[in-house]
Amino acid sequence: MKSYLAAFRGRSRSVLRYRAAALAGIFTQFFFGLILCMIMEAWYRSAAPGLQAPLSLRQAASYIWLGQIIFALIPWRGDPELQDLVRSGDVARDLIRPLDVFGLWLARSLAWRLASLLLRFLPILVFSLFILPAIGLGDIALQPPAGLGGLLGFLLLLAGAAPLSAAITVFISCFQFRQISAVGANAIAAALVSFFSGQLVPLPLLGGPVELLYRLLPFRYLADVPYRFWLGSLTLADLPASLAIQAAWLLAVLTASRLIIQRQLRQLAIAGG
Amino acid sequence: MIHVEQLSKTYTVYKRIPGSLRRQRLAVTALDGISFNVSPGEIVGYIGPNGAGKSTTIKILSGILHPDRDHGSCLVNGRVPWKNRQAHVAGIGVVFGQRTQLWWDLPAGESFGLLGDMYRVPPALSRERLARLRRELDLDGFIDTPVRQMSLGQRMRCELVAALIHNPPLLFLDEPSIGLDAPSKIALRDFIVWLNRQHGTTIILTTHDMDDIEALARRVLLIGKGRLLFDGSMAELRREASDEKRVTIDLAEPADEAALRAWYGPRGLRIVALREHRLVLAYDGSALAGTEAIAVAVQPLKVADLSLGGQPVEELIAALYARHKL
Amino acid sequence: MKLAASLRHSLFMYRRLAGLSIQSQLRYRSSLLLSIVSQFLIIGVEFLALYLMFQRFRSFMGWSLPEMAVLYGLVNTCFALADALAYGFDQMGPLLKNGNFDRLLLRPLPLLVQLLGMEVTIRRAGRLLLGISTFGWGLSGLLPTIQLGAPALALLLAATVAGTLVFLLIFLVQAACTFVTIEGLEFMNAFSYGGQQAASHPLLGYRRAIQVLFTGFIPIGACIYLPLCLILGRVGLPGLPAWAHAAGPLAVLPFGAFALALWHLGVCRYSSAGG
Repeated sequence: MKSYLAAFRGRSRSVLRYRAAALAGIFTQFFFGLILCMIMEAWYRSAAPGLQAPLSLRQAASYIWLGQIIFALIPWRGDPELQDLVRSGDVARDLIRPLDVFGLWLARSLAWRLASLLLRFLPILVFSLFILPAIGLGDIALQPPAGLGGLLGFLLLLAGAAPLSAAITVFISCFQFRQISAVGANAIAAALVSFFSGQLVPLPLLGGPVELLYRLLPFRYLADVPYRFWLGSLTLADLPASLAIQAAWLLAVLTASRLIIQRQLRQLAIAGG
Repeated sequence: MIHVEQLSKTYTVYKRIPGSLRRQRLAVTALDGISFNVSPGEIVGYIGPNGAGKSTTIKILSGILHPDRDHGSCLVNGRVPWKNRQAHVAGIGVVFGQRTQLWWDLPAGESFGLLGDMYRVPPALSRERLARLRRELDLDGFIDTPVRQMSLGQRMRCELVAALIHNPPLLFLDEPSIGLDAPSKIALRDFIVWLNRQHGTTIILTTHDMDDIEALARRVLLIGKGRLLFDGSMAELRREASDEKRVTIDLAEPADEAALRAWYGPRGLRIVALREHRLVLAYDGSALAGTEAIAVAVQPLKVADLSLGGQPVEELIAALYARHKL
Repeated sequence: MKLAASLRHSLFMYRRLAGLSIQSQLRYRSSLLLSIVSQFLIIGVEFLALYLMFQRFRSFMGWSLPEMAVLYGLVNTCFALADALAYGFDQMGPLLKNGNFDRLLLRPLPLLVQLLGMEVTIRRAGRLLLGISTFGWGLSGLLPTIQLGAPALALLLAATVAGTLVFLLIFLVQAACTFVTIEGLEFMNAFSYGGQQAASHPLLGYRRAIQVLFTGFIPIGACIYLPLCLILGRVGLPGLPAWAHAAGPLAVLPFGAFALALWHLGVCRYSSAGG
């Protein structure tokens, strides 16, 4: 346990050191958030009168801002450090440690995601929740959570989203043993995760077969489901079921990654002699 | 060829104050009023300890860096290096020992072609020059190998070709022998001598390898803390540094160090090293003649072999640095 | 006369360098192809999102899906071209950190030509493909209703060139800033990627400040959106006369002067501070 903690601490410290990069990232996210909200506002303005949207504009804007706030938690791609480790073959060094390699990687990825999140979420939260209404952009600001229950649900699901994100990160990194599969895995992950987590379009706005698809995939438990608690479209009554499904997905992704890694390592051991 | 007068360069650096986010502004003087001239066809060794201002000088002369505005003047090939960058660099060649001029992924031959075009060398002339350099540096075995796969020695030979494809009258070599093995070093020296003789190329050589300097440079510039401390021949540098001479003796029988010390001490000789069958003695050349020194030296010993010489260059330079508190 | 010769030499060397970079990228064909497909996929979902939003809302500020596809396609085409050409600008951070920028300074070729010639990134063809195909798809849907005469085609070409240049100049500004910060500048992504995102939608939909930013300051909208509005017969920005729509691509000129001045300033700073 101690070594996992050390891995976690080392990785998070090295992320925290890049304050300038974080500042730049925060600015970029303010800007992106604003652009996306204005685009959303234009969609609502262009809608025919009487259009029944599952989200109000204020809710959709909040959804976008929540996406910017937890942006760093979304596993777009594998952990670059882990990928370098795999690609350079230094992975062998991890292998000879008397530790479960897999647990170590998970701890590292979790630290990477959480440290970046901690660095970035507060300024964007303050900006979107308090400053935007103060400068007359209340229509596209982040609304406060739907009661204490909504906040609780959001936070609990976010707490579950962090390990799920780390697990998906490791899962993607499992495919880095070969350049070809690495490029492919990163691309497919980026496309699937960005779309089906709800980061690209608020999922509640989509219906039909797409809805069926996103409900069948784990990615919405990273973002969409926690957001729905914040917005109040899911309530405390839905909390146990949501948490259970999230936990099940976590378990499934972990098991799958573990199986893949073990197979890859066995192949590597054979190839490496 | 090169005319430098009262050249100065001050950098501004920012130092983080420990435990605070604020930074402190510091002015660091890299060059403090340097003056020298280099005539066409000279090979000049430019030496000094790390941080003395060698690289800064090379960077200014090659046009990468501007000196302080209100100080001194500098002309290279009749041009102010930082005034018209492209025209200036077309007339010089530069080899950095630790960096490459070549394209990492391309075979060296292709890099040469590219550089030839870049310097607007007519293709026929470029081919002819390349053929000659290729012969002189013996590139045939690896000219089609991508640079990334070359050994350091092979790469350095290619670097030289890359810097000479436009036949510049002036060549800067910045630590060219760093990391090279002995045969490569010797090949490099031979080539530099050939180039200087054959083409009359003026060469400025910075290095920490004093054997390079001794083998190549008829003139040495010593720089320390941004100031020029010495400008003259290697022999003058020796005289400047010290008049210490050495007697190296191979012993037929082992000798007792304490006894030897008691014998030599009052007679003006000093034991530099005593190891099994070898004894190295030092004496002041201005106080003792060589014959006197030898007579004193051999008296308490059974001698197998004996040689007389000056202080090794490395030690000489170290002593010089120490004297100037560098 | 000397200037013309120097320009010709620069152009010749650029072709030579770019050609070599393409040749060396083509050595790993399968991985290159995969990268292109990957990028197509990643950006493809973006267009899918746009399509699905149309399913819900039916129109964007009065624009139909084919019209949006034409704008989206043109902006992405320009961005993809600039992104592929600007590889060297992107490499400024590493170049400065490992001292290889000095190497560029030692060669008798303009710095910008050397940076642009460093690599023409074929991997970026994924976005280019997507841009061209959405543009083509949108246009084919519109052709019965709009007329594409020679003036419109010329305007379209001007918009494409100017749009590509604006993105390229944004990357150049980013490169110039690297002289001060050394580390890469993520905040400039707000203007490159953010600008691409913003310009993919009609400027009409934004608040005033954003409209001004992307026409007056970073003229992506002026170069692509305004001329396109004229061709599609749409209102670009309320109160703007038709000639201003047609003259939009000219906005690249002052921005170019600004970017080049900034770059020049950066190089001067480098050679007096010495990296």
